[in-house]
Amino acid sequence: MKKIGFLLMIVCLGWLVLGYSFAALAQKEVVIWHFGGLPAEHKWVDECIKTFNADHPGIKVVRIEKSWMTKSEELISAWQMKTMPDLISRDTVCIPDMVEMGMLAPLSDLFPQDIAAMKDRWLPECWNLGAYKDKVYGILTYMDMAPMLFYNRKMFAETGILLPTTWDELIEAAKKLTTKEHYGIIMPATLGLNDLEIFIGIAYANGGRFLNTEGDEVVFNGPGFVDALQLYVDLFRKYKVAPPGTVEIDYMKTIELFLRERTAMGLGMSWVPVAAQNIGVLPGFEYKMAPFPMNPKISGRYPAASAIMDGTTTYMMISTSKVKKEAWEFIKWVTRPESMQMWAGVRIQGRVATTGDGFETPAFAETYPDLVKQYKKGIALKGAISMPSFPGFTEMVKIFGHGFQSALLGEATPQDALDAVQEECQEILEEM
Amino acid sequence: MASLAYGKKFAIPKKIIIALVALFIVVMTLSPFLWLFITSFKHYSEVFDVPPSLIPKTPTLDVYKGVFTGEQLGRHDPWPLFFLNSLIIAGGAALLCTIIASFAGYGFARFTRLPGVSVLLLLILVSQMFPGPSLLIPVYSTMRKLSLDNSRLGLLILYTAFALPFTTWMSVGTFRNIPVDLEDAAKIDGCSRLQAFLRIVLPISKLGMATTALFAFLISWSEYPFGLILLKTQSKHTVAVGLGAYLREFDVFWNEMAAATVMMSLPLVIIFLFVQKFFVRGLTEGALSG
Amino acid sequence: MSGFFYILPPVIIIVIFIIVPIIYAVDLSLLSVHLIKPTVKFVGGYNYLKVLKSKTFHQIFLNSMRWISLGTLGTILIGLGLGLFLNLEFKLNSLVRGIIFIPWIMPEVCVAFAWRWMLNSEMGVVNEVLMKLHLVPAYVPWLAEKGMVLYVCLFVAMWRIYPFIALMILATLHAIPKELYEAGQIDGTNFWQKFIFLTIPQLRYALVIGGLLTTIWLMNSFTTVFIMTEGGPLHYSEILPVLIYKTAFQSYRLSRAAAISLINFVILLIFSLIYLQAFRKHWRVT
Repeated sequence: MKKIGFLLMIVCLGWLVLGYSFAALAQKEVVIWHFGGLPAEHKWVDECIKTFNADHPGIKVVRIEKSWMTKSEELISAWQMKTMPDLISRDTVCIPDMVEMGMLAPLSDLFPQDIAAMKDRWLPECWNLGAYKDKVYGILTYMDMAPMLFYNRKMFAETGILLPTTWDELIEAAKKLTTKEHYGIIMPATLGLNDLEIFIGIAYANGGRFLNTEGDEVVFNGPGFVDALQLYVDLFRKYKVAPPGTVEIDYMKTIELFLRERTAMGLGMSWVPVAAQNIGVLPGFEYKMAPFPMNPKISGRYPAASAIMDGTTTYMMISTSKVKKEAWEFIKWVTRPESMQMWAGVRIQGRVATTGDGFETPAFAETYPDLVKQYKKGIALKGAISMPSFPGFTEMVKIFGHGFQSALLGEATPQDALDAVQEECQEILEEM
Repeated sequence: MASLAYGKKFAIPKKIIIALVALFIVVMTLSPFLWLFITSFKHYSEVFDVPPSLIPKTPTLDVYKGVFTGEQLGRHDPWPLFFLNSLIIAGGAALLCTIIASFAGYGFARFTRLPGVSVLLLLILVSQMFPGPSLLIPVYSTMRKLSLDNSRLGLLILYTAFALPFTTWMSVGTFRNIPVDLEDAAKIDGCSRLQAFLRIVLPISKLGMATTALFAFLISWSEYPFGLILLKTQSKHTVAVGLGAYLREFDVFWNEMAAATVMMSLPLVIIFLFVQKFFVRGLTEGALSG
Repeated sequence: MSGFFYILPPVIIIVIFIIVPIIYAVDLSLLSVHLIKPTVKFVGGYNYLKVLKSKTFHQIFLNSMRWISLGTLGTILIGLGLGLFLNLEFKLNSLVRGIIFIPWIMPEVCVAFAWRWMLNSEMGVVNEVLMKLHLVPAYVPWLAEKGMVLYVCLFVAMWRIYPFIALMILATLHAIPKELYEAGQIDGTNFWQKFIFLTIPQLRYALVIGGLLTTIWLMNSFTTVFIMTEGGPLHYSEILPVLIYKTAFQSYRLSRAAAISLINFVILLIFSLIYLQAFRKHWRVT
């Protein structure tokens, strides 16, 4: 009997070992590179991964955090070295560039049924941010909108100034709000993409466009952009209501200085609440966000955009992934209706929702009452358009930034500065 | 104050001048380090105070705890592992570099009549100029062809290559200073050239070799761009690459970065306080022996 | 012939990891590799022509030249002063010597980060301290003033290098035989005469090597500028390594970046030949 018992034990053990090793073999690893984002978001994604892994014993998702500032060089070198992950999450602006390099997998071709079923949950404007040439490459979680004006309520109440709604009023308000203790306004103006996006948002609202409608001509030297740039230049150089170091102050420094009461107004995207949540505010500090004032006479040739949008944490699949099905399961998991509510205000404050589920959360209504009102009327995001994105944009926007800064530094008038860089960009566009 | 009575009349002002200059130098040199040190004890929200507070209001050690355990604000950087990686890569490069440079230095100092020796030495001297960001793309393609990308060994060899020109040249200087008679005496005793080199010459040039090693180590320790491009897996990252990851979208966690910097540099700083004397002497014997 | 056993290993490593990549760069610079475009053509000197004609390149080239010449001169002078100072005998001398080496030990990334933050016009501690000491009337935009930013970055780059140069000088000073000075004393020479006629000639070799190393390090000091300003505002603090990096990784133009790299190599080669000429007796073996 002893012998049989022993044998049985061995067989059982062997079975167990075999079973485990098969399970391990069957378990597929999905690697995500997560570019940017805030601690609260990382925590939330990690939770999603945990529940997903528990729910899918055959799949193991691993998240690696990557620096936002070095995203393009990291991806390019990984692409060349063939060490790409399976999924990435980053901004939608880069989609055309990445598609042309062959990096992204067309989700609408690979999973047509799922995509068709999912599509209606998103607002169409948002859904299209993840598409390029009629194919879907990215699924959005939230998005950021520009331009927004955030203002210190206490300072406004003390001076009795009303919220500016036109450019002239903005200049007047900024002049009155400039004191020894604080500046009137800060516009972020480094060469960073985010800062330029904010400015491009203002120019789009003034009827300017980066490219013409056909997409074959660079037109940012038109009056829409030039007048918007003149506004920046006036605030900075003529009225001196912005800090002398404006060209080194980026979007993040703008918010930090605003939250520490060094400026009465600040210009940015929709992420002020996120930053406030992250670094904390002083006691008694109260702020509000408002749409950026308009030019009373829209000077650009194109329709005025109410806002421009960029899906900054969008999930995309890498074309070389060997576990596309499993990776897709995870994308579906982080963008389920329940998850989308979390992205929109429940766990992550201040980002703009992209789906109906997101728009219906109370937390979102609290931060963006106006947007929700429009949504209920069925005109949400009306007039909002996507950040320009086409192959070569990353390179062109840097060159555009040089024109932008040279006007701010007083090297040339806004018109001359933009004319000079338009030529360079046009050449690149024709080369693409 | 006792020195007042003993010194000559002009000795006192001179002392004070020296003290002031020394203080100025120390402050200038240490200011960023000091600032990082102060910041590493601040809470995250205090980091953004305008104007910045010169002394932490409510000092905390939490940041250090986070860096130590790999549980930072929204990140999981295994700093002890990064430190180990850096130690392996920089230490390995230093070792390899010292061995190769010592042999080569000896060779260039002794075998002066071989054909093409001066051309080779010239090549080494000139190549000293190039290991910089201009080589980033070509080196990266070369490493890929050799399958040395995304590998700690690859980076180790690369850093060795970068440090070799200067260190070879340093050791040429060291060995030229060692009289040939010593080896000749050894050869009479029946040693081969290699034995004479290993047993007699190397021990005398210990100091020069240590300097070589230290130089290679420090160069490799702080190199950033090649590490960033060549190491793709987080578990292989070096300290410099890990610190570079603090360049971020929304939140530079200055206090955490400061704590990480302090913790990662402190061991080296302490070591260097002790070895600088030898380093100076080693330099005298090696690169500077004209 | 067994001598080659000693000499060849570094030569082989240097050829594989430095010379081969340079040849590869030459090849790359003659093609039209652009990461977004799939087709690659042979374009000959087009990339060079394009670079040499661009106004931006001229400005950045001038920045680089200012950077190297002023930086090398400044580092050598500071290093010389500091080396002479540390050669004096005073208490805690060895502690000071240890401390000044800290900049060289700290990873360049941290140094650049820390300085960028300290020099920020609105939130930086430098402005705050200077204001408290009443040395400046208002916050100074160190990194946003077009006439200043290059030199501020250069200061930081030098700050990291000068300790090494100072220690080299110090090491040489230690090696000067005492008798030399004693002989001078008898002749009744004063301090300056002693310095110029006795000390400087002894230091010549160290100064040349120090100059060479400083030039190399400054020419390649990419990390400092990239982290502190990314070359901005506009191109006012941009130097060639930063341009190469941006062209390759932000504009995806690998071939053009290779062409700029090679132009950079040529500049470096000219500098190294000047230096080699300066101490040719040390590399000529025979």
